[in-house]
Amino acid sequence: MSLHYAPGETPVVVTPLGFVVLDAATPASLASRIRGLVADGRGLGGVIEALTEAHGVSLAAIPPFAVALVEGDSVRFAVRGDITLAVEAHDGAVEMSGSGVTTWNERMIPGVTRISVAASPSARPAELVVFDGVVLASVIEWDAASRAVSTADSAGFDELWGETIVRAPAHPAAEDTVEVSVEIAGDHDGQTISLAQARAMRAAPHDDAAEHDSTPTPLAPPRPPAPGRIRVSSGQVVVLDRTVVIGRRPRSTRVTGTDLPHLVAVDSPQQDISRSHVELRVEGDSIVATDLRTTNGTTLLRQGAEPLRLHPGEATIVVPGDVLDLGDGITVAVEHLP
Amino acid sequence: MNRTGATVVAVHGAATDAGLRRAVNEDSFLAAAPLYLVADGMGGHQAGEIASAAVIDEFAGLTGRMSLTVDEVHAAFLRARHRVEALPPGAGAGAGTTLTGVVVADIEGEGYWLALNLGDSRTYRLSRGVLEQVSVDHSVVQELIDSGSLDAVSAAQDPRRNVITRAIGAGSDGEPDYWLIPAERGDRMLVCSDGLPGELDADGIREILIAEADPQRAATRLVDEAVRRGGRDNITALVVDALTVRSRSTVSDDHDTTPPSPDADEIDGDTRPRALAAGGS
Repeated sequence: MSLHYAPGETPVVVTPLGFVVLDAATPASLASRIRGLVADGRGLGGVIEALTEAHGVSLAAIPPFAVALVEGDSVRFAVRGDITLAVEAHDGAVEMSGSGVTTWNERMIPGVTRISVAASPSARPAELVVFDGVVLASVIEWDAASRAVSTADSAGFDELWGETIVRAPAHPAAEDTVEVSVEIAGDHDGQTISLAQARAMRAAPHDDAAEHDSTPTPLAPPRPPAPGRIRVSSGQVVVLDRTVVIGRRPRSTRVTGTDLPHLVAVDSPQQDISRSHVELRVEGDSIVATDLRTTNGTTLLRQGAEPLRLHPGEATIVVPGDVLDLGDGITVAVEHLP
Repeated sequence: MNRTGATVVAVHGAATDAGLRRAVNEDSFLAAAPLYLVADGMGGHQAGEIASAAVIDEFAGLTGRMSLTVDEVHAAFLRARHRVEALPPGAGAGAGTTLTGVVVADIEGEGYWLALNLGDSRTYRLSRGVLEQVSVDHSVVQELIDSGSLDAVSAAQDPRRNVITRAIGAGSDGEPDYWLIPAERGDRMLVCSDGLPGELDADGIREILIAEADPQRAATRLVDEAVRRGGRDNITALVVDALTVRSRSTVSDDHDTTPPSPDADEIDGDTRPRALAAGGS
């Protein structure tokens, strides 16, 4: 992933795997640490971890951020705070915002062609290129069209075992600039909550859910190492100390190192349930559930709220008390650790 | 290799050739239940050969088991890496090797392929006629493709295509990638060094895997074909066929998920979805 940018004051972390827009007040050491974590493939979890360590575990203290990580043909986005991010994809323009969300807004978008971020309105054109590193930017642009551009010259590339890739910039193909704007605000949105508040809410998740009607309420206070466990209606109880994939014949995606997900197989006589149906993973202090683009979907049941069908491929934060309905009589209850 | 009680009972074929340009075959392989692994050594002056053989020898100690866990496999990997790093000057010092393949695993009684990869050797799975590349190369070219900087067509010609980003030894401390894939009866796994895909594209590989029912004949023909097309590198191919797979599910997994139908309630627990059941009974 390479980015074009114009100089400014907003730290932007760029790695071959994706980029992270940070708050202007972010110390350089923290930005460098985040660059290392993202480059190591630690993903969103790594970013959250680094920010939590730096700013304390209070949710309210975590500054706004925007994360974009390439995963196969899709890009995983996570946006926190008063940031609006519009993305151009094959399916059309998409806007993403972190406002009104207590933690952050996360989404997978396939076929992304262009992302650009305007941190300040009177910015210069994004003409400088960066492949890997941390830059201070006012405007950044990422263009998938560069994948069709040949990789200029490779002369001088002799680092046989290096992790670093150096190549001449490929300029984005001349095409209509898609309007994408992101406003990076220094302050949070007034809806953030403190750790104590989050704990109180977790203790009474039902009341909270009722207030927010069908919108899944993202909140999950930290309690490392495992923020909870799940109980499958077929009897299995699994502690969420690592990612769990539930399905008829679940499969793990690529994992570096031995931290393979726990695979939970469930019977589905009517084959209503997909082979890999739903994933539960721990992101920082939260439990997030993702329907793995299944045929028949996954429904989130939260007391006091209307049943909500999970958006395929998009992470939704779940809390103890929530129940996921996979179909064919199989449900998964999210529970506190005893 | 028929072992009652194994979660996956497999038969295999294996073939290897130094190719037409290299004096030495630096590839090593292990094909004995429950491990099917290929290591492609690099380093010159036979050092690569020593490195790949050392890694395979370390894993050879795990043969004969019904299945292995990822922790057992990873422990063997760590021992193998230590051995490669400790190779003495003149006999492998500084050399490296790739490693890829599949190991039979038992996940709560069900048969799984535990696939692993480090470097640019490859593991493929042929399932119901569809060839899927399971492993993802640790190479500069693959990183460029992943980042959208390079398309697959250009990648085949890219001068950096032999530059890998992780290996055992050779100064790399990279970790392997692992995958857990539910095994199915009839699965055909192909484990090979990069000399095979370097000469044969995916369609060419798939055609041979489908045409040759016998795994040994398939492995031999893959290697022969790669040699005939230039044999610019060492070529090794392991073909592993799953004869039986243990699964606790009472339902045949020969069918994918079916959409809900208004009549779904009428289908009892042992019945396949209506459209499919009609043909079977």
